[in-house]
Amino acid sequence: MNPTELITVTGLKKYFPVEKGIFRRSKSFIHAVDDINFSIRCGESLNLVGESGCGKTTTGKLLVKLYEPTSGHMQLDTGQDVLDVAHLERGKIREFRRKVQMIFQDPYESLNPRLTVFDTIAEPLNVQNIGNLVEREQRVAEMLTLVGLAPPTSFLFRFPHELSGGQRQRVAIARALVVNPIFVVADEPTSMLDVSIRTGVMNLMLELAGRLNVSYLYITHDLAVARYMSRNIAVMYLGKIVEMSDTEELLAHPLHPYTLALLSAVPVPDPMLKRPVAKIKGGITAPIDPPARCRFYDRCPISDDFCLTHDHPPLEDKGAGHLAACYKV
Amino acid sequence: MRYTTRAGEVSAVENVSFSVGEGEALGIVGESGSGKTSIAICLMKLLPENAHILGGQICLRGTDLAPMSEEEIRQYRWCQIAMVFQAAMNSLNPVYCVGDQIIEALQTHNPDMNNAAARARVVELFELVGLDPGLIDCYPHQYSGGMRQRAVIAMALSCNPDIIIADEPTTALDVIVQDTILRKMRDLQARNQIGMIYISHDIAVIAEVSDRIAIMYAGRIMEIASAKDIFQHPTHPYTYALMNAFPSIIGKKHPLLALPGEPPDLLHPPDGCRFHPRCPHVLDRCRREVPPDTDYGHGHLAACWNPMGKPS
Amino acid sequence: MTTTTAPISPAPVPVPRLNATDLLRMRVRVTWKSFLENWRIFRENPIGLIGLSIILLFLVLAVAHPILMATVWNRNIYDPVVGYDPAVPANPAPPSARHLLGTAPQGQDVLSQLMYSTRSEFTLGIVAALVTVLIATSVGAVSAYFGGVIDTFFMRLADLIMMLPFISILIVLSALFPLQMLEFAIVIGILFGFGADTVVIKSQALSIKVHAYIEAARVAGGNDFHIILNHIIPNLLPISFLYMMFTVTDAVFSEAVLSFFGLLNIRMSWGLMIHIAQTNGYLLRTDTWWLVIPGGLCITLLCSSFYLVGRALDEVVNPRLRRR
Repeated sequence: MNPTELITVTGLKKYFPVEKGIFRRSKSFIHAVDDINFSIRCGESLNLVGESGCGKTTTGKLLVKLYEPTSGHMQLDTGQDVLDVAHLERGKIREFRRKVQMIFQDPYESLNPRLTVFDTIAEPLNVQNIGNLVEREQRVAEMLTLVGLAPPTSFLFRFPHELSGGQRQRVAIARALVVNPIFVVADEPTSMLDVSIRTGVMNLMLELAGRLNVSYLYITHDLAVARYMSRNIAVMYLGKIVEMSDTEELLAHPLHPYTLALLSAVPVPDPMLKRPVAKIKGGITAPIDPPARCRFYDRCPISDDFCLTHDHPPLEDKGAGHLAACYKV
Repeated sequence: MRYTTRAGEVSAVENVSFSVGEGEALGIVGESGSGKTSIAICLMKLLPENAHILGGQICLRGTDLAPMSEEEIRQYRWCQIAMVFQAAMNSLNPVYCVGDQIIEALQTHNPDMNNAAARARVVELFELVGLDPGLIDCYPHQYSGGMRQRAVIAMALSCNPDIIIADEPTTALDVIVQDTILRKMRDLQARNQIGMIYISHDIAVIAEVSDRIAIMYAGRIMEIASAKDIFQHPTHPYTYALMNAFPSIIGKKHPLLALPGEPPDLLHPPDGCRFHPRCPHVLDRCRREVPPDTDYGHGHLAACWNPMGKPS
Repeated sequence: MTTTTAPISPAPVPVPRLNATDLLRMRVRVTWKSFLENWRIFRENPIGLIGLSIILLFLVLAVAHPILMATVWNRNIYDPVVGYDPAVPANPAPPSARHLLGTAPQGQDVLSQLMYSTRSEFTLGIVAALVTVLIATSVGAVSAYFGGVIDTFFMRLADLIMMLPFISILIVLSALFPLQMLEFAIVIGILFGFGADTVVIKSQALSIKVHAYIEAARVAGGNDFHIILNHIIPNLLPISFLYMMFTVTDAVFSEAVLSFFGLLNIRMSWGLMIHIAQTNGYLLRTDTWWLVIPGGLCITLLCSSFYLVGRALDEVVNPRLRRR
């Protein structure tokens, strides 16, 4: 396995202006993603975990160029070329769209209800002028078989409303993989599916990752699911990455107080286990013009004056590749 | 209970029996289409026009609610049996203050309560669920998701019901908020000895809040037992599959079991045991005959011809 | 410029070979099936069937007229504009065996006039509807998609058009340039297209724009044009089609009003029939009912029938039918 970095993100920021009316220039911004750095190696995946409003979906959309970053760099190494995602020339955009794809959260929304399954999966091929009609049809049939919708002929011309949630999500996966991407952003692909269907889709994604040599950025709020999807994990809070390490290591030895709180709040399917109360106060607020100090200061059980007077702690290696952004650990 | 639709009759709830003791918490686990929300609306008699209860009893302290008319059931609704709906955000009217909505509920069921008394009760309720009483005159959109959920719980508690049905009370909430709300609900239940029926697809949530658990599939209860028994001795293959399909953050990482197939179409449910098309343990008998509830002692019942392993 | 994709998996996936004709056949079958499904839903509503039957009745009238003129009826007597029956003593004459709905003040057969006008009314309705839908759909989709200055411009234009009294504008326009039926149809189409319909369609387009499949299309590589053409507009077509029905209603009615004032440069229409009755002083007299009632009734019936069909179509189009 080639250990080169597939995706490298440095100093990525995305600020959204707070709407203030047509003629008044916005002075405040929501710091949705605020200076994050991470990288994913070829053949590996990364879990991006956090609660709502932490910026994980925004990060995913930045990586597929649905949003343009306010500043920062994202680099994609396709093997033949190194692309600067934020500043792509016109000719390279097409290549980028072939290499990077996305799977969306809601299987009921991400498929156009008026297009058949065939049209939906073939759309990336059509738009990018890949192959002639016969080749496209063959390719779509191959993809349907690959995602477990067999026989393909019985699914080709169905409409989304004739499929179940799990089947629709498989179609979405087929659509994402039809152009042979090397990197796929999966935005909570299983959170809207039933439990017994969820595992099928999760297993499918894992199998395809290995088979097609695709890397995922797996975005989820569910730590238990993240555990199964990738070996590496990054925890986000209010636009910043607060902890990043190997998944099992994080679950066993969490360092950052937010991660600790998050882990103690996850319900566990064991009625005999008494979970400790999550040590965290207050609720999540939107990161509008946040002060320079640690974002977690207000809710942190172990914060003190040092944390108040210094900038947001940098993400540092606390030993054995386990990174945390905290002055106290 | 059945729904009459353009395409035919959907058998949503078929021969479901369970009981909830005073101050006891029953958890109903099921996927979408299992009938769990249908049970909730049956118990509250909030049936839409095309739904009909075809048989059975709903006994609340000995009184059968099933044959009651709308006027009769209104005496019971909210005063003795209350409900926290799924997507609580949607059960708060956006054009009225939250306080006014609770006062309205109070005064409808206690006609002799005046405004001052009602308001005092609302303050009491807010403190009970952990909401700042200053929020009484705010509108729902000014509340966060967790606060709205608490407001809806306060509304359910307002008339001191004997039992509360909570249908997916924390599904739309973040993990940390969910944790707080669940602890609060469990606490309220224990202190005021209120019966609770929790309905969810999330088995981890149900495990934490319930004393007894019922596993539903396609309109039938497949297994019902104490929470401990369900997890330690799952008898029905569906229960076993659910246990193993749920990833957990503690313990060893076990390979996840995927169930083949899809939940059945309740317009034409399978003959015999409704789980048989997906069951890894299926026998010929399962395809033809509906399995009865087999008692395994200590209130542990499972409806299966070929159960996983007999509980000790 | 085509490129073939490399084989994707190490182990070849066994897939049956499909050919183009099979796929075409399957696609046709699927389209036919969804048409039948929509028809079934439409059919269940008696309102729609009533409307549709009335429209069919009028279609029969429109088609029957040239046939009758060519075969049974004598051209000189039954021509709708210049016909004259010397056998009739005094015009306007009440209904009789030769003239089932009587004759007009100048001697034309009223039934013939009625049937002849049906054709132009249909043309008017359809042309106006098509123009409206074309304009409203494109403008609505573009405004919703791009927002900003474009959106503001078109919405303010729509506000302007909606503010001004519709009939008065038409009266002024036709006083300045005596309009023929086709021109009139286009004018109505333009007024509606940039007016109220565009606002409705734009709001529908806005609700389409937020669906995830639009983002998915962008990630797939689609540019703005592709997304508008292939995703937004197809999802707008049901509602556009619906509003087409209402446009026909409005167009026919407006024409009737203007013809009543004699402001349109047309050969014959129902409104014109009533206008002739009025200018000859026969409007408010009960003993010459055949000059006014048939025309008025036809206007009402045709307008209502399209409206009823539109209401029934609403059920087909309404997204509540999209099952989960």
